[in-house]
Amino acid sequence: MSLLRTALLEIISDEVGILEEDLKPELQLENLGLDSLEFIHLIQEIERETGIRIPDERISSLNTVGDLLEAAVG
Amino acid sequence: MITFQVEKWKQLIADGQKIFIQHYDELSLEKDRVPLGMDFDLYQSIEDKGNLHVLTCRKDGELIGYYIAIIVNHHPHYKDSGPQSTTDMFYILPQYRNGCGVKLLIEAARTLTERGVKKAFIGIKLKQDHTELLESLGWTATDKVFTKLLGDK
Repeated sequence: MSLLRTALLEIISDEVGILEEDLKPELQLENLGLDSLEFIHLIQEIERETGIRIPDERISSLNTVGDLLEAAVG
Repeated sequence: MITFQVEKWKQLIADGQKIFIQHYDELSLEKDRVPLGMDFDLYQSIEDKGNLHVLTCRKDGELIGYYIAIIVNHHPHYKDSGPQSTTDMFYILPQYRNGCGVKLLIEAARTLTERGVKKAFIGIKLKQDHTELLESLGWTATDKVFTKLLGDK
């Protein structure tokens, strides 16, 4: 696993309060327990911590943790 | 899978009539004096003129939310400033308020931009205040809207 993916999982884990090992790629984002505001804060936190910009057109197609990692890692 | 797509008005009303009622029941402030009475033909005529923007949110094809905007080709005060849009309604079923709403708003801005809209307006109910969410998406609070029911009814 790349350092970036590890860092991303750490950020997501911190934001949603789920252990990194439980953040399986197939886990649906809707099941993370986030409302819209918390979801956009998660995206912004990933962007702030990594310097990666996730384009708007990708955000609406993020359905799983794997999608989110893929969008950030590229 | 949750998807967002621009659709035709007819597609929305084919699936949306139950949600429109739920939307009204949740957010309407004056049910005793302002009953729901959507003029579907009027929406259709607005769409036929190219001035309606219909964005839907579906989960595995089932309608779970929508964003509707009316576009004017230019505001009467600003004839050289390009198209502007006014949000007519947006809604996500309560059980899907787990990130869908923000995606819907992001898609709304993105797809309106694709249509050439230069400035978008959106209003929110004070009882369901999304100011922080909208500001986090780059919207700016600029106006307060006041309403008053008129007449003796």
